Amino acid sequence: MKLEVEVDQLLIISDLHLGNPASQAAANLPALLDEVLTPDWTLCINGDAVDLTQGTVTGIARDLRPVVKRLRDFSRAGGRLLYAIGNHDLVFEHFLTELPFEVAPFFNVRCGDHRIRVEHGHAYEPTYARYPGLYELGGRMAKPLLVAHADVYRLWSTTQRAVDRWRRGSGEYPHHVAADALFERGFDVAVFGHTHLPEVTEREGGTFVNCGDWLRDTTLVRVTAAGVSLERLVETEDGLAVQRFAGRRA
Amino acid sequence: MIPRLTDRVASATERTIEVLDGHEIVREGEAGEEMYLVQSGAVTISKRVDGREVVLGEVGPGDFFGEMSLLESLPREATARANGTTRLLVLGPGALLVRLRRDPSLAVEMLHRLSGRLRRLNARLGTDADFTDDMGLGA
Repeated sequence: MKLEVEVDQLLIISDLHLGNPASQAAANLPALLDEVLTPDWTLCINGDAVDLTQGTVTGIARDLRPVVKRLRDFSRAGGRLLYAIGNHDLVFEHFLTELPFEVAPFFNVRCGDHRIRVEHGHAYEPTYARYPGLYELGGRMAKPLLVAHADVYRLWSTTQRAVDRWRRGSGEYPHHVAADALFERGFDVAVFGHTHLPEVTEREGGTFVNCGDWLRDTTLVRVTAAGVSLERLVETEDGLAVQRFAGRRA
Repeated sequence: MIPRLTDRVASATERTIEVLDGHEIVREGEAGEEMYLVQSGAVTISKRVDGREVVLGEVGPGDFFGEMSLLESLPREATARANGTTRLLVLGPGALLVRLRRDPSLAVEMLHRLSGRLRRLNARLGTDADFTDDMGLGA
């Protein structure tokens, strides 16, 4: 396991949830790898690429094949692939090493003068940390609904956003607290995933970024020596493009 | 002398210090029970070998040093000197436990570093007969 990584340019995506009936990743990730990303970039998947909890066997098989092919092609062409382990990945960590990924629980990235922590962030989610079994059970119980109506995810996601707003209003937000602890020990930027809520927040000690997800959106984080920005893969008249993130999709 | 209760409480909290360029932070052979996390600037780590100072490396923001003395209560193995004005977060044993509760990934980083050191020592054990004798493991 290699924790220290030095890159010139890095793209981070997280929470693809391939196999989940609501995931947009199978439709969009191959296009990102075919049309946007060149092998002089490093691509980091910041956890939860595959959804064994709510995904179906058919869905996972269908979604994984084109993505794995693109990732292998990207690696063969000289592209570097990193994978930070998320809560959905714990049951198949050993399979990840069969793919051309460098796998770790988190990465400490150096890019230019920046010192960046890339981590999925589930360990800082109070409910997950205290009751991982219950958390998993909740996910499993929602599966039949998702299979019947993928749009159920929108309802869940909207509820999550309301819970998130309440948490922020009622005390310290756990992921901000975790990021602050990293800033205190010299990191400039903390890039988390897990909550599916894309965000860039300037904190006292550094910049907190959440990658968002590829269920309801196609957000990604671009890291270069010039800085870190939250962006989105969008379809334009001239084809696919990456544009600065300007708020959550409806 | 038994430390006062207030001193004990103070030693269990973190503090930040700023060290000017060229100043020593810890000196090889001296006692110390604190580790240092580099917030900004850089620190040069060196060791005296056969009467001359050998630079072992440099650590920068996000890195740490001094953890061996904290964990084992043994004298410093090397000297650390600020390279430019450097800001450090200082942790004693009590503060480390509190920090690990807030930031468990620091424990993974420390284990990762200690494992690397052990691996290098094992490699040396296999190739260096004198070293093996020193360890009392020689034939």
